[in-house]
Amino acid sequence: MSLRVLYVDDEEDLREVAQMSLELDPEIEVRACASGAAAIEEIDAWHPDLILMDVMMPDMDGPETLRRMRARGVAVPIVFVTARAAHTDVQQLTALGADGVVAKPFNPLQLATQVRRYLDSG
Amino acid sequence: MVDRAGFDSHAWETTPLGHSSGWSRQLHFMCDFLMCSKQPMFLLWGQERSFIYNSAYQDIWGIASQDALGRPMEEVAGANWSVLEPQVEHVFAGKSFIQTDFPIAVSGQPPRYFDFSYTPVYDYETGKREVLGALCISTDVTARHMAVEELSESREALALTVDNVAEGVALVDSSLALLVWNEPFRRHFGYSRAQITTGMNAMDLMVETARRGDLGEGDPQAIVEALVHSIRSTPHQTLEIQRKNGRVLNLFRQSLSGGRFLLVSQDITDERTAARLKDELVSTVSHELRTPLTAIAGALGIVGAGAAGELSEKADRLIKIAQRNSERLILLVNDLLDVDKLQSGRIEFRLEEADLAELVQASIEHNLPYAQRGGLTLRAEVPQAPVPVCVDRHRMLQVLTNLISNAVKFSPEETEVLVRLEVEGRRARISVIDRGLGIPPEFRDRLFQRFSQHDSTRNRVQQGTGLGLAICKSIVEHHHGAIWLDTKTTQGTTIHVDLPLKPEVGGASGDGT
Repeated sequence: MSLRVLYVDDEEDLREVAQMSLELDPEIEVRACASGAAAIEEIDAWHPDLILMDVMMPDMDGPETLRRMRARGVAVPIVFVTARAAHTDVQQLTALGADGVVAKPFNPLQLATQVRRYLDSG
Repeated sequence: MVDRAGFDSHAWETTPLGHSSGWSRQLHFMCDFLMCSKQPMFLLWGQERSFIYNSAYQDIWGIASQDALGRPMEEVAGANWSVLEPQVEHVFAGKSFIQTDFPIAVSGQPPRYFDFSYTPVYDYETGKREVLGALCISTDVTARHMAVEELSESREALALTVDNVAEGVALVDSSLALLVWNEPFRRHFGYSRAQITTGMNAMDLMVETARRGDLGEGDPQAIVEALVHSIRSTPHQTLEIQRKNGRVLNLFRQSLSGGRFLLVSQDITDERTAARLKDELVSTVSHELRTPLTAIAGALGIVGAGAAGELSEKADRLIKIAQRNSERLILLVNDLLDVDKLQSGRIEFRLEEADLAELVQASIEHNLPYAQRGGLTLRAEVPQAPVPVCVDRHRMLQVLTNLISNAVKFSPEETEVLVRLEVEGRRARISVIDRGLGIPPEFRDRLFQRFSQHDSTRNRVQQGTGLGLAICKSIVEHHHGAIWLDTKTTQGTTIHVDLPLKPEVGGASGDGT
């Protein structure tokens, strides 16, 4: 069964690298969005199983996007990718309703495995 | 000296007073009084203002001769008469007065100070209210004069100090009267010159500050009452005051004897701004550097794993070089952030029980490929039984990995790096021993400081950040441990790390060594 992962990041290069990293797992299907607003539209159209999202984005940042997604009833796991993955940062994001945090830089060969952990538990 | 004999044998007939047999009884009486007194004094008598003085008076001027006795004061005083005459005439006009703190310096001696008390002497024989003479009694007030001078000097020194320090200073007494304050204090709190005066009630100043909202939201009177209560109940206190105008003050209070207290204020707005900017910079560096590094490491990882197609041997080698160096950059960014966090105390330690022997093995395995590239042997000497400690696993691995990679970095080829773990009493000791060139004595003191790196690194790819040992030291000390260089080692370098064992463990683990 294929798993749909929506990757949200304003950095084009990172979107591409993350997409290719996740697609090393043949069962994972990836779409990438450059902004929170685009991601919200994509969710309605595509219904992903998990959302992997950057924290610091212009216009609408990660936590704000998460708040809006949850307000719209999005119940699938939402996982942040962040350069600031200290314990307190993780706690703050979890308190906002995030399901998990992946630290930047991530290992491209392990990203799919990391993400699957949240899917299996969810 | 004008003693009794000298006085009696004086040639009075050569003076305007004439021979003493012709003197009035009152003049005889006055002279007897002078001769008997130990108090320095003189008398000016008659129309000629004839000068009569006693030996105590001679002493204060340091003169022994009695030549001036009976002579007109105008002659004796010479040039000083113009100053003296109005005073003398004042007394002859029936006025008494005291001249205070008059300095007299006798040849080379420091000046002494005298009060001169002038009194008119009336004619009691005829009963007429006529002034016959002027009596001047002097008192040595040098001690008083010096005390007053010292007091005013120390007051001046205090004022000079208080006015010229950068900190605001205010001294308040037990009745809350403002005893001392300086200009910086006025400026820090933004009082107008009319609002702050010495002696005023400090409560009025506090109310003014509270009324402006500088002491937080709420009823100014209530805020000030709470403040006064804390002043009365605690010996010292530090307040951070966020003024409405955006300035940030640090106010320190120290209670002193007698219910007084001292306030010292500092404007820390600039420091706060700098600290905030630094935090922002660190955060920016963290994000801005890690984002491209993530893309680089990610892309290299995918290519290096062959996931983007088979690589030629040459391409594979080049990719490996790029990967190693991107890892190095990531480590550098991590080190910089760690140092910043350790320095500001923001690092988090998640302590859990761990087997130190296992951590040593893990860090050796981690460094094994690196050591083998340099043709080195990496060997562990650990006890059979587990060595239980309470540590942040991740941070302790960071310390061990750092120490081992340092040892490898500074070791000549074909030598051995030994990591020994021992239990000594309630402490575990890790020793990382290499057979390298050792650390030059002049560098030893700086070894655990930030950005200290000795340039004898073999020029492979592995130059470090110069932060590693400073980070290790911080981490070890957070675990109540110690890290130090063994200075007794004559060959190579030995670094020891001591850590407390996890409390309440059975004897078995301790006996394992």
